[in-house]
Amino acid sequence: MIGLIIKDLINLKKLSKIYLLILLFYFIVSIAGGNQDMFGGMIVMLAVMIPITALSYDEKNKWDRYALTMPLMRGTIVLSKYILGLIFLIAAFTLAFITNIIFTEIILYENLMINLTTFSVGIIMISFILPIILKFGVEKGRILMMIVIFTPVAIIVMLPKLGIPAPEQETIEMFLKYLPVAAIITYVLSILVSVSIYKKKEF
Amino acid sequence: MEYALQLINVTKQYKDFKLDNINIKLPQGCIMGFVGENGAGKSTTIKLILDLINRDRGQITVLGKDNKIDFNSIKENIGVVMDESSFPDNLNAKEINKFMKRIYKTWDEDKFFKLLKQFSIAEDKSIKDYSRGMKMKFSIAVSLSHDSKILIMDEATSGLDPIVREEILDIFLEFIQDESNSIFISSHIISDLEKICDYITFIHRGKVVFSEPKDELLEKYGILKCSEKELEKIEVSAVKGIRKNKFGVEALVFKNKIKGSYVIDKANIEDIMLFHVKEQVL
Repeated sequence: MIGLIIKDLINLKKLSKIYLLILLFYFIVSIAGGNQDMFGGMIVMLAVMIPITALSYDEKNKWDRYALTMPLMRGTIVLSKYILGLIFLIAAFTLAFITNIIFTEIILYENLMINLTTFSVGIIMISFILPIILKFGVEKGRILMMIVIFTPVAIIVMLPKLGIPAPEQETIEMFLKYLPVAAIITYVLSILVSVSIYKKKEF
Repeated sequence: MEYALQLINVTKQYKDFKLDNINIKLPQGCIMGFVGENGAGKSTTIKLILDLINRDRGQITVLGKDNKIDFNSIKENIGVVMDESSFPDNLNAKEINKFMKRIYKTWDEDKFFKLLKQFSIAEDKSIKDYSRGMKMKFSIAVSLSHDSKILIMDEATSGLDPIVREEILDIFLEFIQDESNSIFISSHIISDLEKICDYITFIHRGKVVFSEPKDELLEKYGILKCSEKELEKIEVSAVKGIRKNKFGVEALVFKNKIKGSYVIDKANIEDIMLFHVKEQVL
């Protein structure tokens, strides 16, 4: 397991300069624009991209069929990608949380809630994307991935137009409070689904 | 006898191809060459052995373990070389060593770097900049750098120049010096296999045509060159395959069944293979 994560980290290191540049860019833009939340959101998106990128490298190198000849269980190979995603999401959360403390006057509770929300959204996104990619491959998965991401957004945008009233502030707050729990449950379910997909996969 | 690798009635059905009732037994300490034309089912068989694809029927044991039950317990002892490199191609040998030693408990760092030196492979050059021969040698180095007792190789010498092939064959012979080690190697370069193998398994259109000790094959068969009339006098059961040309016929025959004063030439593995296929076509 550790070996696989080290492999992905070394592999991703080659992209680290680009990632750091993007990070810096969004940081400056959000500081200049006075919108810290955008920075938080962007780094979560970057973190979500990490396990996807790692999977696309594996696919390009035909790594899986070779990894499966090593003393690794199929489940371990899948789990390593989820752990990779989690590591980067926690890093993104921490970074956004700390920059908020340093550069804004946002109160601690709000800081925590905002970043927990973006963190949870990241977790949920990975939960939906990874099984799709494992099932269909990165190329086909990419299109489905877009559908998965944009459908909820489209629905939310469409709701008021359909005459459905926006929920009360209280309802939203309640929802946000339980979101992290829901996210973790989704993540675990997603792992189970992915493992069962991967176990049936032929290489 | 202990078998390093055993396939019993293994069947895998695809829409347009069937791997049909494959039976292979590789005794420990031996090298088996797995030959057949492109698309005969060599890679499919190897994938089945490695449990990369599911079989429909049959049983496969590697080093005595069923590959569907406790395959993971012996993976430390299986060295695999695929037909093309499957390593993250923008990493170099040093970086690959870093994570491989966390994957294999028996990973031998010193041996790995020693092999790289022996193969003159640069440690800090990315895999993607390697030539095909270097990639192959690199894969072989990796397969030998943990506690491998069996090497399973798919087309490990194809596409390489004769000098590199010779080098690789020497490494295999060195590996097999330890009598508990075995090699299963597929190739369509028959001459390579003829040099090193103890057993030859010939697969054709998804079926095993023969799987026998090489020496027995060479001993058993001979090539008879004669006229068509002469051939008619020979017992049908003595002839395995016929090839006609304008000077007469060439036939692959069982040497011990031919009586009388015929000139029988030696047959090599390639002849034996070709005549077997010929017979099936007719």
